[in-house]
Amino acid sequence: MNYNNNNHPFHLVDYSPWPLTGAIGVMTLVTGMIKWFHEFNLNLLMLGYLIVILTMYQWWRDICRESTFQGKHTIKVSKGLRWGMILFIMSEVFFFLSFFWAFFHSSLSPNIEIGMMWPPMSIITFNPFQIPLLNTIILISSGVTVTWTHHSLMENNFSQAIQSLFITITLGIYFSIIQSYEYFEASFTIADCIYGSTFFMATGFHGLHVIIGTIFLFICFIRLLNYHFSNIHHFGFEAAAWYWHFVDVVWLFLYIFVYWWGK
Amino acid sequence: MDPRYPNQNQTRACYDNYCDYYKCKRLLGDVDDCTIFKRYFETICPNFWISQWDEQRSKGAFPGPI
Repeated sequence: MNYNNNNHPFHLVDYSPWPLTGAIGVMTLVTGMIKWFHEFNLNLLMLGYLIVILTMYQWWRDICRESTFQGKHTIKVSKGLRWGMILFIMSEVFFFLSFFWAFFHSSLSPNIEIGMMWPPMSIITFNPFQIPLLNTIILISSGVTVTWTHHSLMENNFSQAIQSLFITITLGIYFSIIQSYEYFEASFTIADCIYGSTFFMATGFHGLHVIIGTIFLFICFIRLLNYHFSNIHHFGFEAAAWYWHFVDVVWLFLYIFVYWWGK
Repeated sequence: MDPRYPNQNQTRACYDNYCDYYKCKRLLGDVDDCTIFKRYFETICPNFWISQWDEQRSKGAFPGPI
């Protein structure tokens, strides 16, 4: 049954203002960031945030409308979205690769100025078998629960899908809270030689991605509660789960190389 | 020629001997055995490195294991 009255399976989107508002929004955002850096004024940055957030909300809401309510997402469209998400995650992999490169460059051949040792002289590192290990267990468990959600979805087990997704989100929030506590309690800052720089750039961006992933999962939770997903069509959720697994894998690399090997 | 430092970049050799000399002086006192390290690093280290490290040592800010 072709619900779209066309002789092709593709989605030719209707006119939308969100790409333009998105462009205006990110321009305002980065200009606002510069204004903050130079003049200590947050107004333009806040305006930029507002425009970007409104754009994201409305654009993605429209996608939900086009797919769930209007049936425009054929299998072909879904395949295209899958490619898109995979390529996006690949680009994020390269993004993190650069911070890992910086870390290995500095730690495999430490400079004289830091004592030709890693960790550098006087840096008190985190014990990898305390809080970081807890965080690792939390993220791995959340990977298990999100897979549980997926299987529940595919088996039409609505209540278990809700429960497992709720647990996944809770674990994500738990990780973020614990990691921010670690940041607060750290004996070194980002300004403390190259150790601090590489540590906080890598773990900081990872933390940001955990927050983004948690929000993505939370949106899926809302959609799940509103019956948007079927047992055979739930790509929005799959994309969130892929992103979440990516975040988990990055953490595993961080844990093994920055926390454990680097101690 | 020290076979422990076979490459052209002798930074490590200079640094290790500087650290070893002051570690030796700390552990054994002012004995003659320590002077081999001193002669080694005075030969191969750039002078401005030695003066910078001596300054750091006097301030207690030298990052090496001494």
